[in-house]
Amino acid sequence: MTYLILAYVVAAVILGGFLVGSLAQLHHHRHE
Amino acid sequence: MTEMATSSGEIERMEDRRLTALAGTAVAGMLVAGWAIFVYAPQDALQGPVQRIFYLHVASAVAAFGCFAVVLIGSVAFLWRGSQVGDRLGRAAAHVGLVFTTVTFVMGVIWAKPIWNWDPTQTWDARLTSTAALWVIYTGYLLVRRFAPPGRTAMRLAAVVGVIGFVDVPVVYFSVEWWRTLHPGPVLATPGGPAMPAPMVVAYLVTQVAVGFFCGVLVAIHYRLQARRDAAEARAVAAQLEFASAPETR
Repeated sequence: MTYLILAYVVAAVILGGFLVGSLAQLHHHRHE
Repeated sequence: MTEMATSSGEIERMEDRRLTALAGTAVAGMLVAGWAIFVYAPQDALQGPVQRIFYLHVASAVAAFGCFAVVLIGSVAFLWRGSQVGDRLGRAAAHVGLVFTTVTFVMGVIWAKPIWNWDPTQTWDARLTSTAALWVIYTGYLLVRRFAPPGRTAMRLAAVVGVIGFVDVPVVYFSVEWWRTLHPGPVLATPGGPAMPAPMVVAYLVTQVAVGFFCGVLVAIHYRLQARRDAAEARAVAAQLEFASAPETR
């Protein structure tokens, strides 16, 4: 169970972080 | 001029709103996939709860392959027709493909630990190694695109890497058949149909659709980002040329 939770937490951090970072960059580029 | 700038700013704001709404839908889709993985799918009798890693692990790998196929198409379009859209699409898809390769990789290593007590630094595995090569190839693609002499040289060099690099995708896929190492063989694309119960296949398909949509939205966001970067670079070059050709005022 620990490995299952670890795997999905890591995946959520990578995918969520990438999505949020991408949207933030998009917003930043519009204001340049 | 000001009116034009305002209207282009308005268009960009609308594009951003649309992409943000799509991102929200993609996140909702991933939550549905989470329900399919953790609630709908039955527990595996042999491996127990850790088998549920399978759904996102495989769906991410398929998404990464899809992204690298898009890089290939974009690269061919650039080399054949000089398409800047192809170059931009290649860059966008390579970024997203690398992220999904990382997810596949990390989830696979975590899954292997309790099942085989596997230490990847001690035991060679064909799929792990070929996937690591895939990661290096597409990181190389992005580095070449960024650091080669700017303009069409960088685009051409990156496109060549994008075409040749795709050779590793079938190597990753068939690695489990060509080399009998630790990674298990295919369970979905088998001659007699999927080697797993129907509810597990349904949970996988739900996850694959959600991940595919999420991946598509990320590529669309990155395509837009690359387009804006290109436009900013073009403006900077035009400003430098204008400055260089302006008569001396001192």
